[in-house]
Amino acid sequence: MPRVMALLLAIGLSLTSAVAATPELVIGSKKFTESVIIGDIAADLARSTGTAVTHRQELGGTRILWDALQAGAIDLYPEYTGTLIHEILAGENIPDAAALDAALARRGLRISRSLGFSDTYALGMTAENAQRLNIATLSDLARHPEIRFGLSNEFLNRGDGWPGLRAVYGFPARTPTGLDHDLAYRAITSGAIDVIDLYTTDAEIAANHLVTLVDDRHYFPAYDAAIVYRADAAERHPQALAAILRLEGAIATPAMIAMNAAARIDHRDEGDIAAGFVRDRFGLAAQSQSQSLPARILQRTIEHLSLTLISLAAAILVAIPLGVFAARNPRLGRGVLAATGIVQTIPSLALLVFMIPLLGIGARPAIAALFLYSVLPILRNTVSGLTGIAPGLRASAIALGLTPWRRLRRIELPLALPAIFAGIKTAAVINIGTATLGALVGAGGYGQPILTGIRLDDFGLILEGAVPAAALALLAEAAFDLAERLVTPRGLRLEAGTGV
Amino acid sequence: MIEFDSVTKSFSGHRAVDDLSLTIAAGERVALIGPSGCGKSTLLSLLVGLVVPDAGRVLLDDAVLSRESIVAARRRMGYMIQDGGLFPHLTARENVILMAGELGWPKPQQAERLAELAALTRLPAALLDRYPAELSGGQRQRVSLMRALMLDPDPIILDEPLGALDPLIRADLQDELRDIFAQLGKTVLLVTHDLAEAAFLAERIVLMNRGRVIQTGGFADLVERPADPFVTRFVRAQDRRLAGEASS
Repeated sequence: MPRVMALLLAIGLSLTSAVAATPELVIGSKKFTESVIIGDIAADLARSTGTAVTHRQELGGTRILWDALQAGAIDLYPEYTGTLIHEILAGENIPDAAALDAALARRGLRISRSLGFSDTYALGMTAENAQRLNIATLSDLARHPEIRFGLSNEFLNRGDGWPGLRAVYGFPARTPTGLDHDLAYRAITSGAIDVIDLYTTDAEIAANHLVTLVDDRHYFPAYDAAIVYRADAAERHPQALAAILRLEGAIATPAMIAMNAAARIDHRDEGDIAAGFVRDRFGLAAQSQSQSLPARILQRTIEHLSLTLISLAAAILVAIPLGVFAARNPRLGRGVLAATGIVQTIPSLALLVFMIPLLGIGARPAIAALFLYSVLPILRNTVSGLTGIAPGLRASAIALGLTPWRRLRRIELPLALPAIFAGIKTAAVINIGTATLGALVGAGGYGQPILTGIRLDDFGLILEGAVPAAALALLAEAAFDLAERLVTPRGLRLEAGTGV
Repeated sequence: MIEFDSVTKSFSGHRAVDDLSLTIAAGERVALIGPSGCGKSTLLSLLVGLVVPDAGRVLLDDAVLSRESIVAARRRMGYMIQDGGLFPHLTARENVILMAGELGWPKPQQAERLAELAALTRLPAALLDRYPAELSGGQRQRVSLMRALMLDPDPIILDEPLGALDPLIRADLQDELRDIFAQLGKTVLLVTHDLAEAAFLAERIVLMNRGRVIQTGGFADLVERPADPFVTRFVRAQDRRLAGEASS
């Protein structure tokens, strides 16, 4: 048993040391195509100065990125001014850009000027209709009461959505049709409706030949894209930051729409799209960081295995002694079991987010969360294995004169071993599945292609993560079955009563 | 010498042993007998230290058994339970030499003692490498007795040693046990629910009921000079069963 654990630990540690080549400049991006592309572009620009760069892409949502930036786990990420003002710093009532700069400076952060495009709500219609009816702005639109609106339910109900917009521009009072965003594109190209709501950089704008109408009364708040970065990162990597800040004003809205479309509609690799932009706009020969399929799978396997092996080995080291303690002290033991049971009920995503302020992003919070999830099955089986030993055997071991420690070592643990092993097997299988969520906090592994695949609606990419993850879980189960047969003493495998 | 001095032990309000005093002299063979729940097995548990008395003292060779002294004392006692209590993950041999190995006996000494005990209990040496699950009930009891005797203990304590065996094997083993006790000349304290077995294996019988000693003496004392109507009832019940067994 100790040999098995030492082996697991050794493999796990050697794997992490292989993975954790400590990066110099760490760029983050949200689980959102536009954010990933800008992150890739920023990474290419920083690399052109010879700086070592890591791009931790698809780190879940705004809250994860913001926490990671403040904790110093990442140095910068693309953000929208509107999100900072109306969401993250909503409590501070920031009136203008200067106030935003000051609020960020208080946190040791800075923000670039706009990258050149704004990603906000807008109304759009087909280019053909717009031309025919001579509509370019929302005020133009208000002069055509016969226009049929088809708006997403969220936009219809948001205070800063339809109700305010109608009041400002004096649109007809009747309630527009509410429909699903994806269906809206189909409805407008088929001519069933004339106007839909969209985000100004949606890939589908170009693909469906739509135009966005100018918000000439400035009703929608500005969601200018920018780079938020740590002031200390600018001191540590002045050249890299200067290169990244060349993006200010460099990405026009149509360019961003085209890049989003290349990724979402044409399924091109984001690294290639970013490299192409950097080459065309800045004349830099950026190398795409994309790898071949076997190389990608190998790297994710290493990442996934290191998450699983380290967290599982740590859980074994903690849960078995804890289980022995709980079995020996039933009253305290119930408390220990209840406490680990509560940890088990925390949703995995929430647990990962809790870990970020403590452990930053990357493998560490994922390993910590997986460790917590793996403790309960091992602990519970250790306790039931030990307390399930026949009273006669327990009495015999005591009466022979074995000390408590030797009794545990020679009699109780070997008798409980099949139960403990079953617990470890359960923990391993749960662990391998749950580790796919680690990608949300930048831990990599098989979850990474699953996340990207969901985001890009690319079933092939989802399979690229889901198939190896399932295979690994099955493999682990088979390996544990085999190992269980090897470690279980022969006497325990025999059926009682086969004697002469 | 074993001495119970005003010992009381309750389990969740029920007095299993009630202010009981009993002395067993060195070399004496004593059988504890009585109906189920009379406290006879609890008395053995108190001696081996599986349970701690609520009141009173238990002494072994004039030394009070305490939390500190009990582990060493256990190694001077040989204890065997009804179904043998053999560890299923160890072979017969490993079960027998377990404690000697823990105490660091040299291998040749362990082997020599093992051979002696196999001869004493008439266990074929070939069976020593089997696991308990591969042995018959009678063989398991022989191995269990070997394990209890490995460290050459005094006293030997047996809790229903033959209780789980079928009648023929049981009769054979009763003969053998009596021979073994005679050869060893050690103090023996055994629990049984069978009056005939008690009379056969022990020179003194202690009849218990509700945690107290009702009468102590030879078989003839219990039959001819019962101290209490309960003794008569108990002896008659056993007689009827003996008669029943004989006629069946």
